[in-house]
Amino acid sequence: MRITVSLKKLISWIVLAFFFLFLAYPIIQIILTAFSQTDRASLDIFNHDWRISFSNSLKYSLAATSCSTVLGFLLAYGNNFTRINRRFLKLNESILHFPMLLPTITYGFVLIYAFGRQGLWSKVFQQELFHIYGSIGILLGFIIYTLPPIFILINNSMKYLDTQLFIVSRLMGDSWYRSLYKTILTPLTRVLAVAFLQGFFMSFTDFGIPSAVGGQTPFITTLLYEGFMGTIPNFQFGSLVALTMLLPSIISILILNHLQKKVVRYERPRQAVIKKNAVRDWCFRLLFVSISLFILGVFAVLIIIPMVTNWPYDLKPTLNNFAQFIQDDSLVLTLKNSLLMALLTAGLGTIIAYLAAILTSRERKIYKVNQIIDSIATITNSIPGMVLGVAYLLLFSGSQLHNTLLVLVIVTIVHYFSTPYQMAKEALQKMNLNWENTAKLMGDSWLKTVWRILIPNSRVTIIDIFAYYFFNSMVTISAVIFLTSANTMVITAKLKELQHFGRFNDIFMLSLFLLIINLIMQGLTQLLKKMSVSYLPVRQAKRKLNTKVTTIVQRKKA
Amino acid sequence: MLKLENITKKFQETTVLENINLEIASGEIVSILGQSGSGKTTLLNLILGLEEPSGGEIFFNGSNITHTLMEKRPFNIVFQDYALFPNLTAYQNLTYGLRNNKECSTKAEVDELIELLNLEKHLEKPIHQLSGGQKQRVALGRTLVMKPQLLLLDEPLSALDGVIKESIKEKIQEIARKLHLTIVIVTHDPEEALTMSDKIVVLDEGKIAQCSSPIEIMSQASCHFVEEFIVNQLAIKQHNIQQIFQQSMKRAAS
Repeated sequence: MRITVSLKKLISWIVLAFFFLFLAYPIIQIILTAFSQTDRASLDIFNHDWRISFSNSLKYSLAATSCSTVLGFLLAYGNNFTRINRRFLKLNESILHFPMLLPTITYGFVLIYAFGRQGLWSKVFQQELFHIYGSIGILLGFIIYTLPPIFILINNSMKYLDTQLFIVSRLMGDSWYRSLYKTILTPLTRVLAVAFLQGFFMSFTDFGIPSAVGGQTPFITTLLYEGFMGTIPNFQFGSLVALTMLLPSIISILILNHLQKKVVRYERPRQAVIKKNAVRDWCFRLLFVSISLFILGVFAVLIIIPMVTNWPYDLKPTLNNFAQFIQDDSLVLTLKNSLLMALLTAGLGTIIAYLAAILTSRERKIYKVNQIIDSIATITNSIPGMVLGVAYLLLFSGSQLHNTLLVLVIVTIVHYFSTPYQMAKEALQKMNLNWENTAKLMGDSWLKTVWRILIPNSRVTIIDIFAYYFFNSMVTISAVIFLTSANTMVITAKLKELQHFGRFNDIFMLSLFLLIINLIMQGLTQLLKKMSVSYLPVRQAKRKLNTKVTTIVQRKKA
Repeated sequence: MLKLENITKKFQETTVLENINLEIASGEIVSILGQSGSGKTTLLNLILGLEEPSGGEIFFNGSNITHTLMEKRPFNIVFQDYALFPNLTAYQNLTYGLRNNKECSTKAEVDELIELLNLEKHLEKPIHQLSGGQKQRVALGRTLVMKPQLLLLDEPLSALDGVIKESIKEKIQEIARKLHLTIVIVTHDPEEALTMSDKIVVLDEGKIAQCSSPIEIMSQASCHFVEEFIVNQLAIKQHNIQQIFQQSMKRAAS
């Protein structure tokens, strides 16, 4: 017993040391840099530029998230309370999830090539439908970015609403609107707030969309980028911006955590029979089709542009761009780096998150350590990726970690730690607490029990965690933008570089390859999950499989 | 064989068990009977070694095992929820301990045990395909493969119903006789305790209210609590069942 306790303690110390070194210490470094000297010039610039950027980020995030929440609610309502064909709904749901497999910087580029002056749809309609640079582009980008996770959150809660209450309310004489308000909207209030805050946090801390389609409109994230990577870097100024970015993030995450604890959870859905209503169903069909067509229309340029000789001047179909892409060593290296980084992050991240979750969910004797790990999860969730990237830049410049793929792996593991940890913790907490004691009585060591019992019984969750880390590593730009070098260039950072040289064919080719890799990984994880649940009871297996993309992409951050 | 001397257990300021003295002879089936919160599960955990007593000592075959680690004691347990491993088949669960201690049981002994527990047809089934009674027998078999000198059963019949309950009861008694096994059962059901055990330890608020054979308990309840909790409860049950039998017989006669 002494040995096993020591082993658990050793693991807990390793986890704590990892987060001290790669979370606490870098953040301390930012604070120290921000207040290192009282440079009046820096502070003056800070006052003026910061105010405009901060208010832009706030305004656009609030506006886009409001639209996404309303749309997300309507889509979820249509998904649950209409008699529209299930296959039709499933297809639309898949289309809605599709943007989550791409980095946000790509959203900006496809928007430009879809609706810009020389864009696909401007050509089709012989006129520019709207001015994509600036306000509209940003809003559309943020909506495309936040709508899928907001829809997933609301839809999941709506699925479990006790809709029989709606019937009871109507039978008691309530009007349709009053019944809707009392039995649908009221129980969903907290989920709507959670969805809104999640969307706000994502938009506020996003760098990809403002940098691609923001035009001359400054945002807090682009300001932070300029502070460190601009023509005249000013680290103190950048650090101050980073610190101010933390404020709304921390507030929104704290409210989010508070609200999530109070979200009403129903054991199982009790669906009442939905009345026939052709007008209602056609209205929702129209809404689904419009949104799906919009998404497909926007992302169609990803395939169309690289397939023509020289958009928009020479529209002859060609495969030359593919051939050129494959011959360009730097692009192929980028692809390899991204894949390697994603696999390493997914592998190491899964081990760290799972071990941390085992300690907090299955071991009660190290209560204080467990509390610290829980706090770490909350902190990582509230620190924007860009702030973390800047902190690493300040701390590890000149060290052996500088310009390595390992630093990208570590920053991504830390940045996305919260959700995988919670996923593992939730799964492990649901398992029989007597397994360890039983196995110990059968002669197992703690490690053997973890290997033989806990891991096999949480295979689906482990696959989900792996996939979550993998997808997010492939699409993240926020932290890695500050840490990549020529040798460790990953796709998302390369997209930013290619934008600088106006190589949009390559941008779309890279994005397309990234999408293909993510789709293959999605297929693989689904297959593995199906194989893993073969021994579980049918109902439990179905429930586990239904969580699939929900948990994977729900918390995709900037 | 198992001797508890002045055992006390406190959780912070709350005393859960107070001055427990108990002797269990080899081959005996003993039930620890009490209401929720009476301390019976804590007593079970102390015997098993999951918890250490705040005071007093535990002896097994003359050796002091008060501070011996759970896995070093020659005991085993079937938990209330069986704690079977769902990723393994019934047979893999049954022989789980043999992976670590191959010498515990021979192939022939395992086969004999499978026959004794009537599990031949279910060995390749995953756990979720087993009924409550089958699960209980697999869990029982898994511990017996390890040949414990003392077997602890935590509410062994609480998740079972009717006929299966009776068959498991018989099976436990049969195994105890055949293997000359000492069994300690924790239960809140007086009927279960009275029909299964050689000796019953009635716990009331952390203290032993009575420790005697089932017949002695029914004929000479030591205090008001035992009278109320066991004797009266069973008398009411008996009365109700008798009434139903009488009515049905009358109807059949008319």
